[in-house]
Amino acid sequence: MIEMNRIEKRFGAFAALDGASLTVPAGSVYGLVGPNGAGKSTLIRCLTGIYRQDAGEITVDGEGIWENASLKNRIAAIPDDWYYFSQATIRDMCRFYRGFYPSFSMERYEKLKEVFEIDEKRVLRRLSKGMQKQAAFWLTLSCMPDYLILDEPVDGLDPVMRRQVWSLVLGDVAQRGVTVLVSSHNLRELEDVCDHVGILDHGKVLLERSLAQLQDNMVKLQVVFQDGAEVPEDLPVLHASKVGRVHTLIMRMNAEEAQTRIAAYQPLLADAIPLTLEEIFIYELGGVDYAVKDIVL
Amino acid sequence: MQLKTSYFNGTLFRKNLMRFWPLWGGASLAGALAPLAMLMEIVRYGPKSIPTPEITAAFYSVLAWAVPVVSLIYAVLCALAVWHYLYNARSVSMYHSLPVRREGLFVTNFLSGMAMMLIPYVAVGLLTVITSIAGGFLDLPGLAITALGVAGLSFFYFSTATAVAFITGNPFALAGLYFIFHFLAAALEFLLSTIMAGFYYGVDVAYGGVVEWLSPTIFLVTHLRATTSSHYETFTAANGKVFENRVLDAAHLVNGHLIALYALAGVALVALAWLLYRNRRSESAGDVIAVGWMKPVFRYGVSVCTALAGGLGLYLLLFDDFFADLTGSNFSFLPMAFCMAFAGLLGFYIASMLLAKSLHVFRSTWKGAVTAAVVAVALCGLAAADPAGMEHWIPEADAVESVYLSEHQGSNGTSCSGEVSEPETLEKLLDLHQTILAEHDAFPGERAGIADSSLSLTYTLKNGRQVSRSYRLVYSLSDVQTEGSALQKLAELVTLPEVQRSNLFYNRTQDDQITSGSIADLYNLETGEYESRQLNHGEARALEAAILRDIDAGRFGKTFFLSQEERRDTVYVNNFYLDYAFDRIYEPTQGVQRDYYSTSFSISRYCTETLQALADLGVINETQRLLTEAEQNALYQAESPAEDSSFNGETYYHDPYTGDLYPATEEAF
Repeated sequence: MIEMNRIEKRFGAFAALDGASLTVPAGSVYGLVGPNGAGKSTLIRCLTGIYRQDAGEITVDGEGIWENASLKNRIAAIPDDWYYFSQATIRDMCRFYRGFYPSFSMERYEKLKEVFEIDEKRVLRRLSKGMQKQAAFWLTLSCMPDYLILDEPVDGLDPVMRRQVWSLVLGDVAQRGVTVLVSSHNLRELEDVCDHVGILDHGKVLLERSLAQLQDNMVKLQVVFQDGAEVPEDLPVLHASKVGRVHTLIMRMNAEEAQTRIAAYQPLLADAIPLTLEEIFIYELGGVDYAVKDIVL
Repeated sequence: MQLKTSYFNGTLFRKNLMRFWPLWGGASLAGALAPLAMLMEIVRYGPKSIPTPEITAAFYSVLAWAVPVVSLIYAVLCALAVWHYLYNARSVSMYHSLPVRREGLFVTNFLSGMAMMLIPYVAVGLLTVITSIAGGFLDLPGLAITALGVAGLSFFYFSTATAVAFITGNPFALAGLYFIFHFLAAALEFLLSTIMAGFYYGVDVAYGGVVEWLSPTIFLVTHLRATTSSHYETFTAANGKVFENRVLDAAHLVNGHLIALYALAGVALVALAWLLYRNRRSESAGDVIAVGWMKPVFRYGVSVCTALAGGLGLYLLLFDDFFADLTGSNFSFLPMAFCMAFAGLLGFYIASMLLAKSLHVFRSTWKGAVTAAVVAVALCGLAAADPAGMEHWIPEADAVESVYLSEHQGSNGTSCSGEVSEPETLEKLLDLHQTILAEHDAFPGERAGIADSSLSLTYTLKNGRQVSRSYRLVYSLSDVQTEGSALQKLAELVTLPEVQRSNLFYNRTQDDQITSGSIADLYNLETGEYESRQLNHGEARALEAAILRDIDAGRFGKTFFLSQEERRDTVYVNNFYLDYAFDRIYEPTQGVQRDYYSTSFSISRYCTETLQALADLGVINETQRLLTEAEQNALYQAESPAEDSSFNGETYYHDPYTGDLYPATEEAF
């Protein structure tokens, strides 16, 4: 289990992390989402021991991560801008990682060769961005980590390879109980793979829940009121829109409660539809002045 | 595989060496040329063609100058190779996310860098051993000392580069700061002493190398030395002639202990580097200065350095001649303070821009900029105020061991130099020094005059310290005749026997043997030709004795500070030469070598003893004569009357050598 408690990290006067706390349960896939500049990459760098936090505590299975080589043996990370030596091939990088990760499996490396189908003797810098990303997954998954930290992991991968990569990751979660922390802006994809989600904004984790809890906490209702009436003012609506006579209401409550409250107005139609992660993200952050702005250019 | 106590990671070590093989491979190849050249010598001349001490001395010479200079440059390249990952956000993230502690990264990368430093030297050393065995001049102790020296210097230079590598987060800054640190102390001392000398009348730019040990390359190159001890063996040739031949006994490395001291300093620098790494923030990649508390040091340090260097440069460019009438050759405070403040401000803003990686620093740093300008002006004020009293410093007579004085008159080309130590002479000299300073205090500006004399005094004090002062004295004939004036005292000083003896025989020791002499341009009245006359050992000795009598009577030095007219009438144009031989002992090896030198001089009509000796020796007689300039002109005019010159009622004389015309009545020197 990964635990981050009140983490602060400052760059001069700017607080990239301002008391962020989160918990990633063991064996879960935790999606870390947040707007640009929210502090996701900084949080991941603190978690992987690259940055030292100014305040707060980071533990993995109860142990502090900073300068803890034996713990880092069990953690592998793919940053959004993966580094490789300028003249290195995948094979060279394989030798390099083998020298550092005691659990590095050559057997798995050979098996993954069939998955990724990249010539391991090609110089990495001559590969496309997507192929470099595949190489990163190839090597990282060969390290056989217990914790996998991914920052924008599938950027640059084609749809087939995205599915392939997620399949491998989820396979490790299922078979070996690997814990995954993944940061991404691709919320549709996260929705498919994550079982926990944390939303980070301005260096703080606004909320973290299981995906089911999150979806249960907010509802989208499509309602048609009698005589074309407008939305009653006493309804606690986060967001409302109207197409024709159909109102689409976002409300912070579960579907059952929403249906009950709307029934009081005897609508002609009231359908509860589960929200996507993307919608939850937008409407949750809309509360802290982050929403799609209707600007006419 | 990683070791459990991960202070060293073999994979990283191998990776470093494999990645940067062109660096150490190229250096090894370049270094291999030296033993290869030695091998070619052996092939050409055969084994044992080079004496073993000569080879060892060559090793030591390489150790004394080539190794410090090469290591200075090579170390920063090795440091860039192994520490460059700190300077890029991507690479530092990868390295620091690996399951290895900072200690492991530090030790492994440091050892990789040291290996890169030493591989070329080891390769060259092995080739040298093979070549030495082939040539029959293997000197294992000499090689061992050289190897130890190379290892010590490599360690020191790489440690320095490593310490600097952790101060910065930028590869260009690493190279820049590394070279600046290596020469900063010497450069600052030079700049400070130049500015102070500029403010103080007569104070020379006294770069004493007081802090040169903080500029190691300069210090090592000037203090490490290879010497040889030798003796002379005599050989008798087939024709019976006896020859002396110098035979080398052994080679010595002078001041080799300095390498050990710098290697010890290297240990401290490695410890500093490790401390900086422990506290280093990965996010400092790309910063010019990566250590927080060093940022103001850098900002104000750059400001002070540019204030000194830029201020001096600006002043010399814009104001040096502008205020000469007011201050003579000295710097003027206000314009110098302006130049230093301006240059200091410039340096402060440049440093601020580098630190902020932005040009928009003016508004946010104006308070610091004002402080920098104030510091620059204060520095200028401190230098100008002469808190140590350097300008008016005159030693106590009983503190002086000796004084080397050098006097040169630009207008007539005469000069006099020598070392004096007799109490009476020193007393007069100190009195002269005092008078020069008093006259300058009374009138500090540019003096009017038609001639100038440059006087340098180098005091050697009884505590071993040496202090130099130089004065340019502008004067006219009346100054020389004014009782109590500096010029009158100087004219008197240079006629003193001790001064003139030293002037003529400065290099001479008691064991020197006069061998011969000669006199040039003796005029033969019968043939009208100029001739030279060689003097044998006895004649030269007699001439020398006569000159010494003239010197002791104060007649010899009377040729200084004469009017041009008097000079033309009294000083002979002939050059006199006396040749000496002596045995030079080369310290510390006690080797002895025969050496030779000559002294040359002119004499005047006042040197009656010398003239009498020349007559007694038959050098001058009814037909063979010495000529004064006036006599020479008269002869020339008699031979070429058409070329006499008279314009506008003034008479001009014709220089027989250059053909130039000079006014005959000029009151000049």
